[in-house]
Amino acid sequence: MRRRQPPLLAGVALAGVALCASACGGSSSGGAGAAGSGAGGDHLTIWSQWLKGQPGQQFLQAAVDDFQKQTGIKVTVQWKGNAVVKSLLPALNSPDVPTDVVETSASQIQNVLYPAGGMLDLTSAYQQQVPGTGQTVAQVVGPAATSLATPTDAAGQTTGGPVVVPYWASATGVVFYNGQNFPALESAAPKDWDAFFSILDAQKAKNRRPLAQDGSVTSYNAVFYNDFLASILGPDALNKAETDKTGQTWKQPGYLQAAQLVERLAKGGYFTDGYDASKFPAMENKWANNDADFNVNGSWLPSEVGPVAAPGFDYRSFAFPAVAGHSAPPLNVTVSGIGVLKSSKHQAAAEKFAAFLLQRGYQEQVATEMQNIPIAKDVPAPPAVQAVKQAIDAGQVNTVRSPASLADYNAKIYFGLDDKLIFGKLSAAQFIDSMSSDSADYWKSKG
Amino acid sequence: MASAIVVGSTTEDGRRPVGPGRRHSPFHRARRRMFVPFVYPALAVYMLIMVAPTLFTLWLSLNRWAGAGPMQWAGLHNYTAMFRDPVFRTSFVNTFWIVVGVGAAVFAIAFGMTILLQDMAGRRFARAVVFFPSLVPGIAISIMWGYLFNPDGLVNTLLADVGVHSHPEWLAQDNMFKVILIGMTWLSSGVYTVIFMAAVDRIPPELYQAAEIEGASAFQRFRYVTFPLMKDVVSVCSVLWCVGALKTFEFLLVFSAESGALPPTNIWNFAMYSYAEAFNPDGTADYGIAAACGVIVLLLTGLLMVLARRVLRRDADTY
Repeated sequence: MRRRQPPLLAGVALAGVALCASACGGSSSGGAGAAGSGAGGDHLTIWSQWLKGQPGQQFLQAAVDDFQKQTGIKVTVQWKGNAVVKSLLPALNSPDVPTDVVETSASQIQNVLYPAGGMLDLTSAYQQQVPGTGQTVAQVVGPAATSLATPTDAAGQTTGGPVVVPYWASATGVVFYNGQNFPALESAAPKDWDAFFSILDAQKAKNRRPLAQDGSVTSYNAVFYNDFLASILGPDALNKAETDKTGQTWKQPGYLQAAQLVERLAKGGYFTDGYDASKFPAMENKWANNDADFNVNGSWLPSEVGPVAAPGFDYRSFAFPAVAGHSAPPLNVTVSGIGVLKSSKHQAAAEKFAAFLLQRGYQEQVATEMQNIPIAKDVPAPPAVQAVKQAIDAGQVNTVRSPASLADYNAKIYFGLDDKLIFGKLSAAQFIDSMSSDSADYWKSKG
Repeated sequence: MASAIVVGSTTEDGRRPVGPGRRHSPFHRARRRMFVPFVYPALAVYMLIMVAPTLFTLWLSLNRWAGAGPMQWAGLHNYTAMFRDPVFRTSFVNTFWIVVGVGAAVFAIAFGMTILLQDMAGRRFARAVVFFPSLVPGIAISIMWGYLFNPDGLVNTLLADVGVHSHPEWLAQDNMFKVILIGMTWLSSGVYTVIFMAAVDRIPPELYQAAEIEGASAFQRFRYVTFPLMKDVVSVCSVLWCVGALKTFEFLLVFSAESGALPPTNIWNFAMYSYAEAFNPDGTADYGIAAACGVIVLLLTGLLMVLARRVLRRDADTY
């Protein structure tokens, strides 16, 4: 019996090799290049950040269906979810990149795919007419969003042309509240943090912890210091300090003042109990059930907490106020849309689709169906974030971006110390000292 | 008691020694000839999916690469930058805690459970119960733990019900890594208990009867009968643990990081460090440093395996 086993094993082994060989060297018929080559007409492949069933997917699918009917261009969409860029990056090494278009946030495209040499400069696409508007893509998108759709160099300056045609935007540093509890704020938002502290103190006097804060999300925590600093010293102050290899910039006036404001919030009992020891989204859910009064968050908040919010919750918002005596910090906006792969054989069709999404009808659907902020000026946003949309339309947008090269610094130095500051583990002075010394050490370690 | 054990020597792979005459028999010569065509396909697959990627990782660790496009030669810069990075040192310490700290706790609990469950009525049921956490995906458990340990979560509610109002802030950054270590211990103890109990099951009962007649306590039976006869299993388990623990990843990520973000650096281990370098959500991928970290993990895995096998090395006891 034992002698019969080796041939069987060998057969299995050979079958395994054959299977692997067929899998490893398999046909690339799903690739973007192959897809269109034999069909006679254009065949566009899109990898999207949405997943089936999400409002964004439903919106985009409907737009794709209309695009196919109107142009005769066949479109295949693969719903990849948030991991779309991570999935696409390794495929850029293949001679047959599996998609023509990647639909996701401009920052992801600029930080990950652009440095790998995979993205097409869309300057010419911005000169196309948007059907039915009498405007070019550049006019509909506007200069601020165009800047946000353009890659930056190591110093944070835009370089080259835009690589994304955005069709919607989101903003962070937005203060949300329940309009039923604060009806007066809709017409008279606090003009600065002194006024806002007065409102918060009045709520504290009622034994409430007025600010909900999901401390487990480091980027949410960083919004406070970022925006206090941007208000005091301007939106490029953080980049200046972070890129100073001596760390001495942190010691300049203004940096400490911003830290003192965070310290005041942390030690003054403004944040909801448990903000420093809970898991997202516990605190924003508390806010949505009126256990806290305000939540500094992103423009996506109403749709995120909608399913768990108290009945009749009236979402209202205003932009992060100014530090008293200074200008308000410009809004931190992220734009999302269509990026075209350099390797695509259907670039003209891809650019046409990008312009197609900017028609007024689809822009209105971004607000009504996706519950997000349309990129086109004057197309209204959902009521909860209309104040944000007005600020974007007015050009109050932060176009200074943190260079991708600082992501490692932020993860290893800034976010950690900022967390300690907002959790009250470091005083403002200790935060500044640590930022200064740890920055110098960090850059020294980089050689 | 040890005299009751029949100890015999075998070759390392467990086969009996073969004399030189048998090696040169026509049967063995034919068998050796057949060896090659049978081994080569497997070897080819192994080279393709294991050795080649490992060599590529080694090459990658000497370059700067964004994941696509051209590579830039970096020499040993990735390694020197990594060793100078305080976060890498934190990752090293945390990895050590997971491999050694959690490993010691898991093995201690598994040994303890093995002693306790050995003579217990309903041990099959108990074995199934202790194994249960291992059946649930680590990702599901880490999500559930997050909810259990929230300030208004089940743990604090139950503690309050029994009158305990002063408790740690479980999910505070300073405590999070400790909670993760506890979670990993809980997740893994069942598996090793079941493996150890299976090893104990093959020990002949007469050895325990002899030990009992000689008045051995439960601990003495473990010390002089059970442990020596399951040492080979413990050795294999320690290697398996080291390999698995060095690669711990999803529990850390899901428990401590929000969607698409990185967890705080005070809970990073080597796997997380490597992931953060390759997939920082706000930055350009640096596969060179990620690969360099992978090479360090590979070397450490090899080192720990050799150490574990050496510490527990002994000719297998047979009975």
